[in-house]
Amino acid sequence: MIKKNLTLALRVLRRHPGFTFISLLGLSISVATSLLIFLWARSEYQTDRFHAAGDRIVKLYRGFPEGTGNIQVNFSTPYLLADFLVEQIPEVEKAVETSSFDKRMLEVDGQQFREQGAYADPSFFDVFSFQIIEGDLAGAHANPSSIVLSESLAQRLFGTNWRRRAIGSSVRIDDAHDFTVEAVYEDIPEKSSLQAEYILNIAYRTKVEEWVLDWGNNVIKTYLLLSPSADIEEVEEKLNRVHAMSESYSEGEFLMIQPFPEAYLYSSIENGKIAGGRIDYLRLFIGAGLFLLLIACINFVNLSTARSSRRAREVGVRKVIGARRSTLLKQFMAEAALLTGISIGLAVLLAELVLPVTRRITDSPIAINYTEPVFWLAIAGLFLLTTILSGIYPALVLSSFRPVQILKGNLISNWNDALFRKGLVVVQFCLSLLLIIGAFVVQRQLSFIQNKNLGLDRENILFIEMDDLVTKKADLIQEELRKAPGIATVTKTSHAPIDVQASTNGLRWPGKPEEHAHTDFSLLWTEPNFTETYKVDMVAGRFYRPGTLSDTNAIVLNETAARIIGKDNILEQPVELWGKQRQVIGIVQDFHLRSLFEQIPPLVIINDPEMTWSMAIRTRAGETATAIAALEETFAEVMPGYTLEYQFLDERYETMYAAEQTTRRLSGIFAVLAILISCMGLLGLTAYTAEQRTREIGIRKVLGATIADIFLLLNRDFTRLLAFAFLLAVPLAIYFLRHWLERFAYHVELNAWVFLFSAGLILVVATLTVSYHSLRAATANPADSLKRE
Amino acid sequence: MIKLVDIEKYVRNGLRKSWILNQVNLEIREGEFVTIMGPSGAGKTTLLNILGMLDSASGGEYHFYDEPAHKLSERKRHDTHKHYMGFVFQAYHLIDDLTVYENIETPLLYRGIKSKDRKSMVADILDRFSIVAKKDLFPEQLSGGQQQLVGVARAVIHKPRLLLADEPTGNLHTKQGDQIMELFRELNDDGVTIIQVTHSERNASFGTRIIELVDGNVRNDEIIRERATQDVAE
Repeated sequence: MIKKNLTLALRVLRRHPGFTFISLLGLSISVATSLLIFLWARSEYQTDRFHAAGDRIVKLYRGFPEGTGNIQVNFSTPYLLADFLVEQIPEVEKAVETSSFDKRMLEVDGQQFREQGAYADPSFFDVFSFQIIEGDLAGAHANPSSIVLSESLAQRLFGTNWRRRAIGSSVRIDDAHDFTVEAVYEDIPEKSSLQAEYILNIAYRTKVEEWVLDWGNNVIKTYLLLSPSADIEEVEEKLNRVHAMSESYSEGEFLMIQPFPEAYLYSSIENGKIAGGRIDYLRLFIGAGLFLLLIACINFVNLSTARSSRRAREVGVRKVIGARRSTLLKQFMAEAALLTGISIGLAVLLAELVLPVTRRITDSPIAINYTEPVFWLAIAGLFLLTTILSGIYPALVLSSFRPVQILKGNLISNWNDALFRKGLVVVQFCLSLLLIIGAFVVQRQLSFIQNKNLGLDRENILFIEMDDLVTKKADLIQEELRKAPGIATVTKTSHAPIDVQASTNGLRWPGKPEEHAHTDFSLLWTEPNFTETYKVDMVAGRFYRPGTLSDTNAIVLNETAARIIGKDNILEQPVELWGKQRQVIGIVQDFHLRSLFEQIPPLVIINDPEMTWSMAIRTRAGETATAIAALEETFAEVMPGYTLEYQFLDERYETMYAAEQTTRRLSGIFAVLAILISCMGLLGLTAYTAEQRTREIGIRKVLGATIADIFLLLNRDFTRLLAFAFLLAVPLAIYFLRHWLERFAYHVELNAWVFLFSAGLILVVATLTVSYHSLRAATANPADSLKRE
Repeated sequence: MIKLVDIEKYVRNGLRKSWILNQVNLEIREGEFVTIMGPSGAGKTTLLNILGMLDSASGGEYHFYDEPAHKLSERKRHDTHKHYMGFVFQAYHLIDDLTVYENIETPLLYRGIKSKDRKSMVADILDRFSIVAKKDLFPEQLSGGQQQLVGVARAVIHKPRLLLADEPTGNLHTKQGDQIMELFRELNDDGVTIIQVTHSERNASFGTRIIELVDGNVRNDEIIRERATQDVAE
C-alpha cells in the first residue's frame, strides 16, 4: 500500500508541475536553512563540552558595585587568590591561573615565528582535556621557564622530526626571554573556545612582572576544578566567606563562579547576573529558521487546499468504492511525505553548496558529516516536522469531503476553508514582515555604529600592537615614520582608544563622595600628540605639551570624569592618583572608549610614553598605499627580519561588533528568502483563485467591467490581508527589536518609517506577484471562459 | 432484499422544508433489474444515493436484507455499502492518476484482498470485459465508452450483490450505451441485482421493472419481464 501511495503521489506531483515546483523550492530552501542552522547550533552547543571534568571546571569572576549603582563583574582576580582558595576550601581541588597576551615572536635556530600563546599554570593540562603527546608535565611544573607547544607549532619550529628535537630545546621569545620546551600537546580542536599555540608557565610572568603578585592587582583569569561532589551554590558561598578573609577583599566585593562549558553561550553578565550572550543569537536564528520552514509549509497547505476542488472528485469516487477516511488520510500524508522527502534531498545538496559561505558568515566550523547518527536524526526530525506541518491540514480537509455532495457535480467551495487559507497568508506575511523589519533595524543600527562620530577620527589610522622588540625601537621608528611620505602623524597609546581596558578606582579628590568609592576611571597612557593624531577635541584647558616638564604632574580628564568630580573650576583642581598629587590641566571631549554597548566611562589620560604598547599612524587621506609602503620600508630598515603586523583602526572597530555583523548578514538573507518563498506561495494561490473565478470574471466583463475593474477586484482581497499582517507584525516587531536595541547604550530609535518602508517593500513585491495572474485573468477574452460551461 | 417504508428526504431552505422524496414505499427483491425513471428533479438520484447508503433519508425506514439500515451507525452503513454494493456513474469518475488496471484494482485494496488474489481477479475481469490491451493506459487516453466499461469493471470487481448506476449511458452514444446495457443484463443473469436511473426508454427495456418517480413520489411501478433468478430466501 505504501508503494502504491508513493507511485500515485509521484504521478500527482508530476501532473501539477507548478504546484510541485513552488512547494519544492520553498521547502528545500527552508529545510536547507533549518539544517544549516541546526548544524551551526550544534557546533555552538558542542563548544567547550568535550572536557572530561566538564561542569566541574568553573570560571571565577569578581564582582563589585560601581558608583552608578550598577554591579560590575569581571573575569579577573588577583594571582594569589587562586592558591589561597585551594588551600582553604576542600571542594576546590585545583586552580589554573592564566593570562593572555598578543602574538609574540618565537625564535628557534634563527628562524622567527609570530604566534598566539598564553600564560598558564601547567595544571592547565590536568584540568582541561588537552592531551600531552610528547614530554611530560612534571618538567613543565618544575621549570618556571617552561614552554609547552602545540603539535603543529612544534612541527613549524622543529620540522618533521620534532619528536626527537623539540623536548629540552630552547625557544627565545621577543628576543629577550628563553624558555625550555618541556612538553607538546595535541592541537586544540576547533570546538574549544580556549585557543593557544603555546603555553608559557605563568610562574615566569610573576618573576618578570612582580606587581602581578600584588593582592590589589586583578589581572589573572582563574579557572577552578571542583571536587565531583561539590555543589556550585555551596562552593560559591564558601568562596565568598574565604575571600572576605583574604587581603584582596574590599567592601562590597564578591566572587561568582560559572561552569566553564556554559560560559561560551552564556557569556554576558549584566548587573551581576548571567544574562545570556551567544545563546541569544542562537535562539534568534533558530526562531528565524522555524519561521522560514513555517512559511514554506504554509505554501504547501495553501496550494493543496486551494486545488482541493480538483482532488474532491477523486476523494468522492474513492469513498464510494470503499475507501475509509483513514485510508485517504494516509494517501494524502504520503503525498506530503514524498514532497518533503524530495525537498530534503534537494536541501542537503543545497546545504552542501552553501556550506563554505555559511562557515564564513557564522565563523563556525560547521560540517555535514554523513556518518554521524545526529545528522540523520536531524534529517528525520526535519522530515517529520515538515511532513506533519504541511501534510496534516490538507489531508484532513481533502479526506473529509462527502461523496454525495461532490458527485452531484456542484463542487463546493468551502468558505471556512478559504478563510483558513487567508489566515495562513496573513501569518506568512506577518512572519515575512517581522523578518524584513528586523533586518532593516539591524541594518540601521549597524550603519549607525559605522557612521557614529566616536568623538575621535578612526579613519585613516594604521594600528600596530607593539611587542617588546618594537617597543625598544619605538622612538627611532616613530621618528622615521614622521618623515615618511603619506604619513601625517604618529602617536603611541597604552590601548586602542576605541577599546580601553585598564581602569582604576584610585583617583581621589577633595570632597570625593562615598558613592564614588568604587567608581572605575578608565586609564589611557599616551603622549602629547595624541589629540592631533586621533583628532580629539578639547573642551577646556589644554592637552600635554611636548617637552614640558611640569606636565609630569598634570592630568587630563574627559567630560564624564569632569562631571563626576563636579567642581566648577575643574581646571586647577588638584587630584590624587595612586598617592601622587596632580593638577587637572584640560578636559577632552567625550569619545567612545569601548563598544557602543556601554556608556562612555570617565577617563583619565596620563602622559607617559613608557606605558604605551600600541602605535597609531595617521595616514594622509587618499595616500594609504603610499603610507603602507613607507611603513613596511621603515620596519625593514629599522628591524630587519621582523614580521610586521598592522591593522586599520576602523576595521578593528568593526570586529568589535562581529556578532552583530553576522546578525546583519543573516537577517538580510532570511528576509529575502522569506519574501521569496511567501511570494512564490502567493503566485500559486492567485493562479488558483484566478482560475476559479474565470467564469465570474467573464460574466463581469460581459456586463461591462473594464480591465482595471477586474484587476482591482482581484488585488483588493489580498491587499486587505497584507494590511492585517502589518497590524499583527508591528507590535511583535516592536517588542522583539526594543529588547535587541536596548542592549546598546547608543542605538537608533524605532520610528514609523522603518515599518512603513518594510510594508511598502512587501506590498510592491507582493502586488507584482499577484498582478501576474490578475492581469492574465483580467485581459482574458470572456468568450473563452464562458463557452466552457 | 430491499424494503423502503415511508422514506422521505427534505432540505431546509430557511424556515421552509422542501421535499425531494416524499413517502416512498418500495420493495426490491434479489435478482431484479430495476430502472428508475422520471423527469429532472423528481428525486431519482437522491433515491439512488439513499439506496446506495451514500446519503441518509430524513425519515422512514430502510431495510436491507431485513436489517434496519436507517438505524445503523455511519461506520456500519459504510461497511454494508462496501460489502454489498457497486456504483456506476454517468461521468465515469475514474481516477485520473491511476491506470485502467489500478482503477479496477483499487476497490480490492480497500477490502484488504491479498496481492495474488487481486491479480487474478483483475486479470479475470479485464479478460471478461475485453479490455486487457488497455490495462496500462490512463483514463484520459480512453474513449467515453471504454471509460465506462472500466467504470463498470471497477464497480463489480468485488462481486457486489447490488449494482447501482446513475445514468450510466448518459454521456455515451447509443451504440456504446447498448454495449453497457448488454453487460448489465449479463451481470443480472449472473445474479447481480441492478438498480439504474435513466431517461432512456431504450435502456429501461433491458431491465425487468420500471419505477416512475414524479415529485418525490412513486407514480408508477411496473414489471416488464420476469427476473432471471429467484430469491434464495423464497
